Amino acid sequence: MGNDVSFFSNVLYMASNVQMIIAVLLGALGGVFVGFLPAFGSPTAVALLLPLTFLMPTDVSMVMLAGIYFGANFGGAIPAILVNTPGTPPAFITAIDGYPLAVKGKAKEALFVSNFSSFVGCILGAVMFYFLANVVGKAALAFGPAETFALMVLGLACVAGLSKGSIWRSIIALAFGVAITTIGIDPLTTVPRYTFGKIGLYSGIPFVPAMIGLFGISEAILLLQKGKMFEGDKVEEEKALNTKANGPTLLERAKMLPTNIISSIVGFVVGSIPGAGATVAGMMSWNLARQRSKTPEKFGKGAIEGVAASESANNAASAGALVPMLSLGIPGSSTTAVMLAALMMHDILPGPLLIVEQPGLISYLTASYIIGGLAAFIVFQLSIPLFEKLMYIAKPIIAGLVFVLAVSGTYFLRNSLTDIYIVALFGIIGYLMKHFDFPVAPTVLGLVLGGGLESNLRLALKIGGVGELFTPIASFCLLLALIMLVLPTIRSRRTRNEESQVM
Amino acid sequence: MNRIVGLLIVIVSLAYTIGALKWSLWTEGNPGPGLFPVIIGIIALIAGVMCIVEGVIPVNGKQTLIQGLKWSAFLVALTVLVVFLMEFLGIAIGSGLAFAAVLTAGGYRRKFLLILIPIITTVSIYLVFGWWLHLPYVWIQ
Repeated sequence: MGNDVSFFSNVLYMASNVQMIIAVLLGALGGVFVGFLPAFGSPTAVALLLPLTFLMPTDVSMVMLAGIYFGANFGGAIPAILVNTPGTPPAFITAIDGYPLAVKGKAKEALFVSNFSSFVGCILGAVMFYFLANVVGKAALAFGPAETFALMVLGLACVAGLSKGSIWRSIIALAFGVAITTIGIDPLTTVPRYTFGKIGLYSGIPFVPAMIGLFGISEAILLLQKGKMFEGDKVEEEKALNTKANGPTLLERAKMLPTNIISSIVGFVVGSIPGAGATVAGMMSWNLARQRSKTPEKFGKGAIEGVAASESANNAASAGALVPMLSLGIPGSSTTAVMLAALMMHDILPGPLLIVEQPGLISYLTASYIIGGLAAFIVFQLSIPLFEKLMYIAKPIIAGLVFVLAVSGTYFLRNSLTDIYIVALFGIIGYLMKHFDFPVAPTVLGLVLGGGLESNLRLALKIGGVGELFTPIASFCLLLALIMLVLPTIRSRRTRNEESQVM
Repeated sequence: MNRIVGLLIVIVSLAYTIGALKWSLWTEGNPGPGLFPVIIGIIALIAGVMCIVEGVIPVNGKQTLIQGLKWSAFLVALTVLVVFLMEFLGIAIGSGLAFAAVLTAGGYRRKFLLILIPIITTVSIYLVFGWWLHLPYVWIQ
């Protein structure tokens, strides 16, 4: 495995090895299934299925890990599209357009585009990983705290694109998410903040249970509420979902390719920066696709390009996140952190020396990612009829399933009973936010990026004061963030003016 | 209702910002633990005031909210029950019973599935987490 065997030889070797094919298909199946479950997500999927890989030789287990990794990434989009409950954090961007498409009776189309875009993102990401592992790894090293802070601000500013009406509602939701991350011991000075003397709050509010509550439990409440109160609406909605529409045509798929390619490149670059992750990559690509679109007003209401951009970007970002993880030993996301542990358990020590000492390993891993992506694509595609049936399940069953998975999944993450109560609390907060039309997605992004945002800001200020925040790269990102914030406001005002003129 | 929600946001933001002022903003040339929360609090405060000024918080039906809060209370009670049951019966049986409770309360009436689904849930959770992964609190203690 460590020899400098060519990339194509590795692909051929894997594709002709029955043991590897079975392992990668099993890994992809497990990954898609666990990623599909709203309460789990890719880090949990990789962690849960990790013990399976220990039973196999290292080379086979690497291929299986790749299947699990990409399978979980692919699978996260399924509940996002079908029930507006993302299986993985980045999939909430897919839900923005995927769920409205499903409600319009285009679930099959959305699922196919999601799978195809994930596949393109995964393959392009793996190829870029192969060619750029050294270069991007070194470039990521050049990113100091100021640049990382600015990049995170840019990611958060992209949230402005989510605001359907007013940008202020989005900012409040975002600030709420970031504010939650300030609860607990301050990592730089060890001062307890907003803990009210409760020791249980010293370690802060864990992100995963909060996210599961905000998305999953709040959705369960809404499902139960709708099932009880709007029988007429329910029947109408199910009729809409019952449409047996075909997937996109070959021409439609070809039209999607530029979005897939651009989003994959953006996703890969952003994903390779530690801390930025697939969520920021997905958000940036979604916004970019909206800016490029001739019909930007369709975004957020069921634009198929939105699903394509999000899925290509987050899968390419997952490949990109492997670059700093392997070349620097810095995991770019929580999933790659689990992957790092998995590699170390197989006596592979990621770090700068790895690429120099074992150049063949990069080619082997790239080949395994391509095979893993292909397996995830096949498994996902074959399972679409099964997932589509989820639409016809009665709402109390979905609500019950979401509740049970949220509670058991959350508990098994850290064996913590407190986490179960956090899920319930954030479920109610999520419900209230949805009731009062506050977007939940910015809160989740704030929860994900809040900690890193603060530590990078404070480190940058410590290094060089306020001036440090305006290095060329940081300035560029901050300027872009400002544009991202101002642009939707100008657009919405122009639309309102046009509407008032028409009236 | 519209202004009340806006006002609540402003009050919470103000309390959060004032709370942050008890920690130093800047000490010995370094940013203190209060700096970041103050920035976030001020941003939220401005956004809250703008919400009131623009009147951008649409309010859905009061009846819907009451119904939603009833379901929220039901799920919270169910969460407490599951945690309680976990200590004696384990999470597998606890989850199965919780599933049955949601189905019944949600108005699901197909008796065969009403019994089968919780049983499948219990068995699946036991097989994956208890039998395969050997995690604690899965089965009867």
